[in-house]
Amino acid sequence: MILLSEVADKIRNEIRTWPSHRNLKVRILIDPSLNDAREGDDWILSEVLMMPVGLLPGTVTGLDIELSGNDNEICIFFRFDTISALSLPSWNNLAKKAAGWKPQIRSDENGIMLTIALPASDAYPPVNLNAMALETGIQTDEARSILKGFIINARSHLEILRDRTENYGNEERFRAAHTLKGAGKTLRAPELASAAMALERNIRENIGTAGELRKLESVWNRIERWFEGEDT
Amino acid sequence: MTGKSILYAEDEFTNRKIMEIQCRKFGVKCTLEEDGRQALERCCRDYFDLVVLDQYMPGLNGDEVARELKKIHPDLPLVAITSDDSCVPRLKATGFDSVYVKPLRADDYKELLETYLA
Repeated sequence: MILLSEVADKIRNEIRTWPSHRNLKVRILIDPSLNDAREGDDWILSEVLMMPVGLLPGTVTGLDIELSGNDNEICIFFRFDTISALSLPSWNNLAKKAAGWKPQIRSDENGIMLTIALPASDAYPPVNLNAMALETGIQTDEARSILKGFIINARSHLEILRDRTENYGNEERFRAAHTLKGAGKTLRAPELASAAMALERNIRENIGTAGELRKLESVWNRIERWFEGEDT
Repeated sequence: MTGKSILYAEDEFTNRKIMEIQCRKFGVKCTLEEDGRQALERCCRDYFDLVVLDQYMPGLNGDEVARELKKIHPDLPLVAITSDDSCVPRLKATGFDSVYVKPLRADDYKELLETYLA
């Protein structure tokens, strides 16, 4: 799970770096009942939030973003300080295209409300190469090439974890899970990181790992399938 | 920092590759090892301006390598990288000059290289 407050911090920090929005004061208010986002939701939120904010004219100096919703949908209300949302038709149109998430849009004199149905968690790409590239300061092509190398290299770790014989001890299995967890964090692949972390924990505590291994295998297969599609 | 050299010991592929790219960007020569013992042997053979060690590695862990290196090259700057932030105080006490927690961001790589190689 990802804290929405962290998403909000990321967005505020990013907006501060935009010269055209130097004077824009953004407050992000989060409904307390909507504290956590699912893995992957931080991505949809930052895309849906960032693009409309980037399109605001310089005359807007204050903006409140109010987040509310439930497990199935999220509501984002942009409340402006100086101008009517109705006077921003181009913004409204462009917001419709926000990252392809097809928000329902309702506007009134106070601002604009976007309501977005949250997709099933498997609708998210299992690896966020753009985020990896942006956050580590490399090119997306380099990130893709690293992922390709990882998929080849990491098979040996999976083999260790799958092995049911006495060939590998707990130390080696722990190390394999630990390595996959670290790679999941680096690749911005949250499902991989959390599945490997659960496995690492159970190996350390010497308790059953069958369920955690199945989950890891499923995430791994998803990453391989997704990458095959990306690589063609 | 162009022309300076680092040794980065890390058993995880993706982190090694990112460090390699970052070093190339800054004109730093980057030697990679995947195992703590090999890293220690390499430091005994070759000269480096900076040694960066993952904490949890096969062979020897980062802190074990650091303790040995401090005896051989007391002035060599040593940086640890760990995925476990609860280890940070212990690693600093071991003698690491800096400790970074994974995943590293672009600014971390820049700071790490500039601090010790500029």
